[in-house]
Amino acid sequence: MEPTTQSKPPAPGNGGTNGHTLIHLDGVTKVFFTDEVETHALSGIYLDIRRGEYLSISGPSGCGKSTLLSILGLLDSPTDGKYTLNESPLEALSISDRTRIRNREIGFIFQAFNLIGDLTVYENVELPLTYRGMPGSERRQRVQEALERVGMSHRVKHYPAQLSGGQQQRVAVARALVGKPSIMLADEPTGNLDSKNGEAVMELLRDLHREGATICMVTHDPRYADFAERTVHLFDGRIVEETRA
Amino acid sequence: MSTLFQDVRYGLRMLAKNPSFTVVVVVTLALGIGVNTAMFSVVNGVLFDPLPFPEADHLVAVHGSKPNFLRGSISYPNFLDWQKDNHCFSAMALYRGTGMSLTGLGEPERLRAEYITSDFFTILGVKPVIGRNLAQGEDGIGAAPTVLISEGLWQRKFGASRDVLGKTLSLDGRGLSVIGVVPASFHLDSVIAGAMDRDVYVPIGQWGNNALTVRGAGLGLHAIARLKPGVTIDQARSDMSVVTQSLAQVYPDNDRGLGATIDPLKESVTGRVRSILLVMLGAVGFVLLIACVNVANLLLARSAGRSQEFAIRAAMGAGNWRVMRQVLVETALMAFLGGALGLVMAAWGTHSALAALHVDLPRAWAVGVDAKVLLFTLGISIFAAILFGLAPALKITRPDLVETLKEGGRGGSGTRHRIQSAFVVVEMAMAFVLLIGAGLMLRTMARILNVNPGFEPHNVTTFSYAFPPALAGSSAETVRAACRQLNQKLASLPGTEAVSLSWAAFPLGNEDDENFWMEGQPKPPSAYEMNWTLTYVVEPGYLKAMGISLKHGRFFTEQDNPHSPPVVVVDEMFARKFFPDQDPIGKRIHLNNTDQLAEIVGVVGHVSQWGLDSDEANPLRAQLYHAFGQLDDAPMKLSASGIGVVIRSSVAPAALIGSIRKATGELSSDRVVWGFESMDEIISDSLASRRFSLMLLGAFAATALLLATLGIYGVLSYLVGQRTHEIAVRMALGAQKRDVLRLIVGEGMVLALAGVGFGLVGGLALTRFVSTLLYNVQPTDPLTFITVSILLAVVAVAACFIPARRAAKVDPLAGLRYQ
Ligand SMILES: Nc1ncnc2c1ncn2[C@@H]1O[C@H](COP(=O)(O)OP(=O)(O)OP(=O)(O)O)[C@@H](O)[C@H]1O
Ligand SMILES: [Mg+2]
Repeated sequence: MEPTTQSKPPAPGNGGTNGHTLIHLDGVTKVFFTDEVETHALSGIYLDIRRGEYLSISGPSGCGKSTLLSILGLLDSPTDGKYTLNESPLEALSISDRTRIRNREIGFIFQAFNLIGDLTVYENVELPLTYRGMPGSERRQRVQEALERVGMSHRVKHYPAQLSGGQQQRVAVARALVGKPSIMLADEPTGNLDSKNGEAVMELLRDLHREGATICMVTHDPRYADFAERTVHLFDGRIVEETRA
Repeated sequence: MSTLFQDVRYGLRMLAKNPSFTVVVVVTLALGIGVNTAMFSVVNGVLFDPLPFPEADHLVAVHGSKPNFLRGSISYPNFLDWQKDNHCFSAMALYRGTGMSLTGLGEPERLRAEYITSDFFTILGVKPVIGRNLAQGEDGIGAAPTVLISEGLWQRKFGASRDVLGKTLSLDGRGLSVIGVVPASFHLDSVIAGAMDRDVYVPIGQWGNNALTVRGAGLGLHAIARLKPGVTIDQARSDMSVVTQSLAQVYPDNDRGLGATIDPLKESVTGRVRSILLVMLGAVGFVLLIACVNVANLLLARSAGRSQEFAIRAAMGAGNWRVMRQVLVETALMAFLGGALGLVMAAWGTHSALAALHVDLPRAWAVGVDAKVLLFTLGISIFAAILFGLAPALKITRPDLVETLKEGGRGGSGTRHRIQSAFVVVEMAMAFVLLIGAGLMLRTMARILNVNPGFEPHNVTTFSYAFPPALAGSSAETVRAACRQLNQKLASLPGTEAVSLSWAAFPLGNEDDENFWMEGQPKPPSAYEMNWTLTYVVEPGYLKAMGISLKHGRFFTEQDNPHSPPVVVVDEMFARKFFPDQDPIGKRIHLNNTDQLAEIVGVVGHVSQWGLDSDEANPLRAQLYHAFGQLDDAPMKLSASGIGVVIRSSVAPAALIGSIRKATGELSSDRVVWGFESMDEIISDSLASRRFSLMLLGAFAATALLLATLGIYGVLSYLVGQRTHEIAVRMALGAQKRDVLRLIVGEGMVLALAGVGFGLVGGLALTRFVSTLLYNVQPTDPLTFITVSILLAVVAVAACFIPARRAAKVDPLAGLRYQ
């Protein structure tokens, strides 16, 4: 796939934050230094994500999609550039503050589900709330709601190993949305699922979006990319194209 | 066979490939096997090996039994009758330890001596190196003076020359002709519990103690005997009871109520330490179990890492058995290496450990590595191999395929760690039990050290003194004068505050007793129906020298002499027992030994005679003091050959020894002074076997704690390693560092607390086995249980903290990427 247009830094004024902008990336770069090799995983990303938006990121393997998602999810910090979330800059935060923001503002959905095998479905979903220090009764209600939302409330006492892949991913979605985050980040959420289960998960995400959730998803699959309102195409660490549904 | 050889070669290569793993496993095993081998070699040498005499199971110890006193002494006339009248023994012999001054052969010196009767060595089957044993009749009163000397003395004083036979040895001023040399391989503590080896063996007839012919005298004589072939110990007991009963008819005055107690000699020699040693053997068994569990856990962890290797082997057609055999071979190799190293440690360490602990363990010389010990080591090595090798081997042959596959998909992971966790709980529980044991010992020690001995031990020096042998033949008056001179000389030493000579019983040392009855009452028909008391013979300075308190009346003065009316002082226990609700002062008692009527003039505080921890248990606690100045002529003359001295000083006892030697040397160069010991040392020595059990159990408990700590640390480290991904997920979801710390430490704590829980149950069940070793401490002592619980919990937290810290450092991104 050849890039057709070169993405340009947005004009000043256009890139400023306003009430609708949740995330603002300004010239974000990421360089990995390993064994005397520098890998430029991201080279100058300018990206705004609005509240309530459903964004998908696509691109060939190794183009930097996961890296971008990690930075968005505060799992990693950029080598250079600015990241503004909810109008507050995140550069100077301590690890503990970043953890707290991650816990409150971000919901993760992983390709490999990443449920904790020793915990029940209920406990897995409860986890983000536990780390927030939320009182038990409120936690119970939220977990119940979230599991009902993904259609897994009948399996609260099961362990992940007792569920199918599709069910596991639905629990993972419940875990991502239980904390009512500002944004849900999904990295290839259907990668480990067959097409039927994959579609079910994609429909779940679309429904959540319709109810107002902000979603940013990485996917290879063009069919699923179409679920999103907007798709950014990444190549070699740069945004090379944007398409709207 | 060739495939087995292949397995061994491959196993050795695997061990060499992971040197640190191999070293940890082998050293852990060596530690466990080593302490077990060491402890077993002690128990084997001391308890299990037969006594080193021919047909040793026919040897018995014989004591006189009186009401309340099962193992008392036998008077010489009774012994002669027992010897003559019994039908169960092929021979009997009497013995009594003493000290004698050797003069005329260089520096005068004090020798350890044993009075014996003729059959003593023939019963034991001990043959002299040169010369002969005593012949029948040579032991009697008035027989020609003879002596057997030890091989050590023979070499030291006579250069091991055969000319020694027939030479005359001057002992306590009397010439005894040497007739034989006792081999150095003979150890008296194989006959008498805790006895030191002697320099000379003297026929009892040479004692020159008039009381020897008194049927009622208790002179500390005990006997050994050899059962006739085919005679059982029970038959001997009933035979001896016939003998003693008929003697009671003939001599009702002295022998009424007197019987004979017969014990197997082995039991009599080792009974004292039996329970301690068996408790210790049990304790080291725990250490080995913990070591095995630790190793099992290490192997489990490693087998998880090697599952791929095993899968490939299986894929290439290796059967279950083949794979399992590979594991078993490696296990056996490690057990073998651990056992060999443990054996080396035990062989080298046991004697130095015994020496370092200052143990007065009977028959310690018999401790060593013999075939039985080797067999034991081999046995426990195999046992250990099975114990620690079984779980991992089973794990491999029953791989949970479904689970393994699910794990690839980040499914369940819990069950695999359940065995390891259970092992940690078991380790913790066993360490807990050992710590409880050590804690109870420690509490016991503290309780004992808090016991008031009834005297002030600090800055009190005791020693023994023998006047020049020439004095033995002189009159009682001359001896009395010499004693006065000695007292004055010592009292004039700088720093001396009080001095007393002492004869008969001494606290935590000599025991001596006598019988009496109350004035105004008819004389009881036999000594055993009279009242019974400990008896001390001391000078006026004794009360101050020992720091004993005066309760009523007065203590002795210089005016209490042979010409003044006989007076005695009693202790509170005596007063309470024999004069309840009365003032004993002014009362008079008939003394059976001297046939005197003596007036009680004072009451003093009770002192511990039998030991700080065992005084209350002894039936004989009443204490009676005589004035040394009023001692009869006969015992006064005897005292010339050896008397005790007590000095209280303002300077430390160690600083006094030199000036005592010098000052007494000025009195006579022929005197012998020996046995310097401060009262503090005497107390400390009296607790030696307690300290032995405390230190040993403490060491084992510490080892157990160390191993259990390593165990919990190892398992948590392993779990953290396995759970990097899970921890990363948790961190991605917002777990702070402290949450992760709390998670890991919390899991460690669950294991530790479960261990404490099971330990509590085990402790409550097992501590009754140590109850005989405790003093004033309940086996369920709450303080000990609580302290140990806290200690174990704290140590466990500390052990969990390192892996927990590592977990908190997990980089969530890296952890998630590693899928
Ligand atoms: N921790 C790291 N250290 C070094 N290089 C890294 C690291 N993480 C990512 N990279 C490199 O950065 C580049 C982008 O990787 P990234 O995982 O973001 O790709 P991706 O677009 O998600 O690919 P895929 O579609 O295969 O998941 C790659 O060249 C990768 O090798
Ligand atoms: Mg990726």
